[in-house]
Amino acid sequence: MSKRIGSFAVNGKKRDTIIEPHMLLVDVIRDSLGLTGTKRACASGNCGACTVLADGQPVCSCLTLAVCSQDKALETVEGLRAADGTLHPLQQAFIEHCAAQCGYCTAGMLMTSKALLDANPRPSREDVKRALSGNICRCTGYVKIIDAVLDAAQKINAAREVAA
Amino acid sequence: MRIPGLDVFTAHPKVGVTVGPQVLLARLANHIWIGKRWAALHEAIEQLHPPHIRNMGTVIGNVCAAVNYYDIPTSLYAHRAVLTLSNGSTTRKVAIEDFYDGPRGTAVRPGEMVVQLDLPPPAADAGSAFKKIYKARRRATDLHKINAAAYIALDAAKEKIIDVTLAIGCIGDHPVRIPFAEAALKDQLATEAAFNAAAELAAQAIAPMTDAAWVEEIRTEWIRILARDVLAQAASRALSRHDPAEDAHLAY
Ligand SMILES: Cc1cc2nc3c(=O)[nH]c(=O)nc-3n(C[C@H](O)[C@H](O)[C@H](O)COP(=O)(O)OP(=O)(O)OC[C@H]3O[C@@H](n4cnc5c(N)ncnc54)[C@H](O)[C@@H]3O)c2cc1C
Ligand code: FES
Ligand code: FES
Repeated sequence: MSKRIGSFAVNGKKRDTIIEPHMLLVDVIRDSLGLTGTKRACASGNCGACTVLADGQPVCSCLTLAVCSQDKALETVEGLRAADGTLHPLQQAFIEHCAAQCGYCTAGMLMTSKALLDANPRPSREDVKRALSGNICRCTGYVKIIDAVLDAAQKINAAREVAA
Repeated sequence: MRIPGLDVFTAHPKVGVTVGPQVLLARLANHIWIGKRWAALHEAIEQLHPPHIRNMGTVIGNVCAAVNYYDIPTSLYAHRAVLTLSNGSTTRKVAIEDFYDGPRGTAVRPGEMVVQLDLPPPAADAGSAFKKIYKARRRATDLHKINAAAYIALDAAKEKIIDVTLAIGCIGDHPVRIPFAEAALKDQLATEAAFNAAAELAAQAIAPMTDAAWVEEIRTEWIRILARDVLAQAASRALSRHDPAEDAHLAY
């Protein structure tokens, strides 16, 4: 197998790019598709910085082959913001709680938290800790991150109740 | 990329579990019967860190990697897993206890692959449990973990142990069952004293690999504690098992 056209469904848009069989999803997302919000840190599945959602489930894009991701609906941190520029409640809550310092882990934190809130809209503090146990932050110490996720969950639920 | 036939996963308390090589760990973790009847396997998957790995790694990949500190194999020893190997023309079945061979070695011969993993159905009044203790790993060579899994089946009166398996992992090239401890428990009443005695036997039976930072006494003590705890928890799950007919409607 050599170079071929790969088609990816990223953040609801179809994107085609040239890939090789050995290419990792994180490199295709960052270098070929130009979505540099997703970070590459440990490249061994330990830190979660590279987390993207594949069919709604968090995966480490550093351990995923790009060729195998073509049939999946991919979501990256760039897809969180609404079309009109409004930030996702998780992003807003991370700002309000100062849940990022250097920000290297933040994209992964946001994506893992999004998967959690999609599956479990009213998580307990323990649920959040468990879900984020594969995302490492060297700067903030986690308390603010967990506070932010719980706050975002509350705001999303409140907005849903108003809409209903 | 799902290949038909390699993506099979079924679990039923009366029939057992069948897992194909493409089945992700998350699929098992989300199945009601795995949680209810194959609790040791369920706990091993639930405690896998980071959780993302559940959405990426396969069960059979974890087994075939033959890494001595992985958790899934230890739970599969307790559940008496059987692997089916095929080279395209002939297939053979290998019990998980005969699957591993030396450091990172397996029974897979050139040209062969594991095409299926089966777990037998548990007895009517049976329970299982998995636990691990670990510390942060600072160097690649650190021996940082001990894990243990047990399965216990009780008689109809839910007093006597009629069947038991006890497996300990991260102590050598692959997990081991502890036949001495199992034999000591068979036909005994399921009491704390019996589990303490069996755990003592387990700790004596194993001379775990050690490294400079982690002396043998600590690892041996962890083996004792884990063996005691998984046995007690498996028995308490077997005790709290209600009549299978009550949840038969969930099986379909
Ligand atoms: C960061 C990280 C943390 C982890 N933590 C844990 C943990 O806490 N506990 C734990 O138990 N595991 C842990 N794992 C291991 C993880 O569960 C396994 O790596 C994963 O399940 C392997 O599945 P895979 O499909 O990726 O297999 P692969 O990586 O594709 O395969 C693994 C090996 O098995 C061989 N193989 C695969 N399928 C077959 C087959 N059908 N027949 C023959 N050979 C085959 C491959 O050739 C390869 O040598 C961790 C892994 C990572 C990356
Ligand atoms: S870069 Fe993928 S998990 Fe660390
Ligand atoms: S903010 Fe720096 S690693 Fe998390």
